[in-house]
Amino acid sequence: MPTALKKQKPYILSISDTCMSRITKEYRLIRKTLASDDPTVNPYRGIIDLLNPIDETDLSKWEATIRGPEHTPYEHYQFRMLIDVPNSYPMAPPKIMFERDAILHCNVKSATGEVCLDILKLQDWTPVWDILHCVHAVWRLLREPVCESPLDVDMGNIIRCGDTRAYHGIVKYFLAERERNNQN
Amino acid sequence: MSSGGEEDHLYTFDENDSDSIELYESQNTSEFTIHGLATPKLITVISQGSEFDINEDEDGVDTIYEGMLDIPITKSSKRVLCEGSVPNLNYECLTTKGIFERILQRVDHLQPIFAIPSADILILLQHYDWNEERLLEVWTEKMDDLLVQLGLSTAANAKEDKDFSLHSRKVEFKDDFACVICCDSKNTETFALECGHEYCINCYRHYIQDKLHEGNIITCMDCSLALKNVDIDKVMGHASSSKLMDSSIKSFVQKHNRNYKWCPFADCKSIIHLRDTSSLPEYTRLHYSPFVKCNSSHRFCFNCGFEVHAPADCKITSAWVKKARKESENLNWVLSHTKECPKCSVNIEKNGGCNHMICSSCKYEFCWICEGPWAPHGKNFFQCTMYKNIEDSKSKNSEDVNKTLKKYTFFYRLFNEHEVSAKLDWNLGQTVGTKVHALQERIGISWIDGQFLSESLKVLNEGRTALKWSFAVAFYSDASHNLTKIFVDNQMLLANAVEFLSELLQIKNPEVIMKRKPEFYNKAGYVENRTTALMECGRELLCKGICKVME
Repeated sequence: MPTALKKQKPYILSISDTCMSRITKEYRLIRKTLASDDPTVNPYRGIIDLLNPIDETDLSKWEATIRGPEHTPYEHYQFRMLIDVPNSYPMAPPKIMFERDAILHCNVKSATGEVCLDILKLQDWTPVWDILHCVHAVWRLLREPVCESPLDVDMGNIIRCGDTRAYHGIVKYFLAERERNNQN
Repeated sequence: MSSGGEEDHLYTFDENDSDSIELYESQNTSEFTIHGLATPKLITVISQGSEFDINEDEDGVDTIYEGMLDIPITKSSKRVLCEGSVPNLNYECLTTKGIFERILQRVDHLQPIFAIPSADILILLQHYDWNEERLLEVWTEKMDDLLVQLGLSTAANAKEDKDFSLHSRKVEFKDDFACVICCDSKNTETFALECGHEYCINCYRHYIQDKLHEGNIITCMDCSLALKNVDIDKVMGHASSSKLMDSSIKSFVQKHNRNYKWCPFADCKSIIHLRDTSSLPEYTRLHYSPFVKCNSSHRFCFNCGFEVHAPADCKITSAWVKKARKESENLNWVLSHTKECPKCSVNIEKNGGCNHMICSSCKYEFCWICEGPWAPHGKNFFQCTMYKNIEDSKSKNSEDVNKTLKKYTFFYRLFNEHEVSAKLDWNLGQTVGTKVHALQERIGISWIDGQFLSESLKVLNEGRTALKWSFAVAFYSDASHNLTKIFVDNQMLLANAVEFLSELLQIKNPEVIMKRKPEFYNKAGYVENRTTALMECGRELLCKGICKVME
């Protein structure tokens, strides 16, 4: 039996099949994890409020809502993200975007919601990570901004010169403004 | 055409332009002095101010002697002219495979210093972009950190995972293996490194396949442990690691593009490595171009990656090529979309569907199709015979092109003509090979004796290319300057020489070829001389700023 398998050299297999089976499995796991109250099963309590496919019949488009980490200017706010799972997943990373003009952060392009995070780049991505990991990584990015490779250069500069108070102030103002606009 | 006739032809040129040629050639006395030293007889010929090579044609016996001598002399004089004032380029031709072999040799050499397996050294080198010095520097400072960082040592991970030593890197067959990547459970082969992160072979193959072209070190999917070349080959089932090494070396070449250049010829995989780039500015200053030749005999300019473009320098070449691209669009457009007003010859673009044209400059009304006056068309629409006039209008158009484009078109046509001829010559080259073969078989001469044919062809090609690019130089030169006129004369001389040689190479009968062998030598030597003279003259135009790119 092993010899028979060796002969077939089948490593060009339909990628979308792999993608499909993997993503279905992940979906099942995510639902189970996020529904649980047990912190050992669900370490994402208070972090990820929601992680779902937008449409149950299309598992390539997801949405997620994360809660701003404690002791950061993002605390008490919620942030919605859109996730695009490519056909080549899990060999290629998913694409994650915030909503437009919804967040101010040195690694996010506010106008488009684009996120700059190393593990979401093809070069650093490994198929071992899953969507839950990615969303969690973005949440951690809110807690620990990486000012070495900023997407929002102005915000990056403020952190780089060590003025965290200014950074926090601007972010808080931005988010308060966002809230006000939403209510109107 | 007999050889005597050819001379007459050349002589007429000489007589007409003798003063200008003399003026230019007197600047190149070095060329002639060398000739003179070798064969005293030539001095007298030169002092008459005519073309010495052709003169020798007249008596057959002497010609063989002189002709044979001619080639080495020409070469030495060429060196005086072309390479005398700029240092020779010190370069070598490589392939990715050759570079890799060299790296392997270095690895063997380094192995005693590092005292780790060769495969590991290869990974270290790969990480440091094949830069030995940088690697050694870091290695002496913090070798343990480096090994961990590059995933060659399991020391860091060992603390977390007690079972570390239990695993070894291998492909295994497992029943009902659940792979976390594809989420399938199946009977499959799996692969894992010492870290024990095990995945099915298909997922591993996909993973590696995607990374091969990046040229970076490939690590385990879940930790930083590196896959060595043997592992990659084990998983992929064939020599895929060489693809990874290739990509890595390619990115190295790309990164060091000041010293390394890919041969620009289609499908040529050669890399030229210029050991010393310090002479390049000198080349640019003197309007020489650093031409190099790869192992497949493709000659190109190391600076701009274009084919050999002397007498033009890189600047003229790029301007010309850019212009050719832009203008030929313009030219085609003007020729295909406009017609001249039959009355005032202004170029008219038809911007609507109606064929009733009114010239905006002279108000003449005419029919777009037959270019006749509109009045008789009247109510009987389209009486005009459209096909009858097409021929006429075409010839008119090509005769009298837009004035601003005239100069360019003139030169571009010549440039193009020689490009086409060069292609024909290349076809000729294919037959020359068979001719040499025929010579060997039928007349029984040696391979070496037949070489004059391919040598002549080579000279012909070089002459053609020089001629071709000389039109770019002529286009950008100040036409009123005396040196430009001399340059044009030189062009004509080379053009004639090239045509004669080309004609000789058309001869098919092997006996005739052998009989006229001295002529081959002579003409080839002459073409070579003329090529050199034209190149030098062009360079002088550049150096003196008579030829320069406007704007």
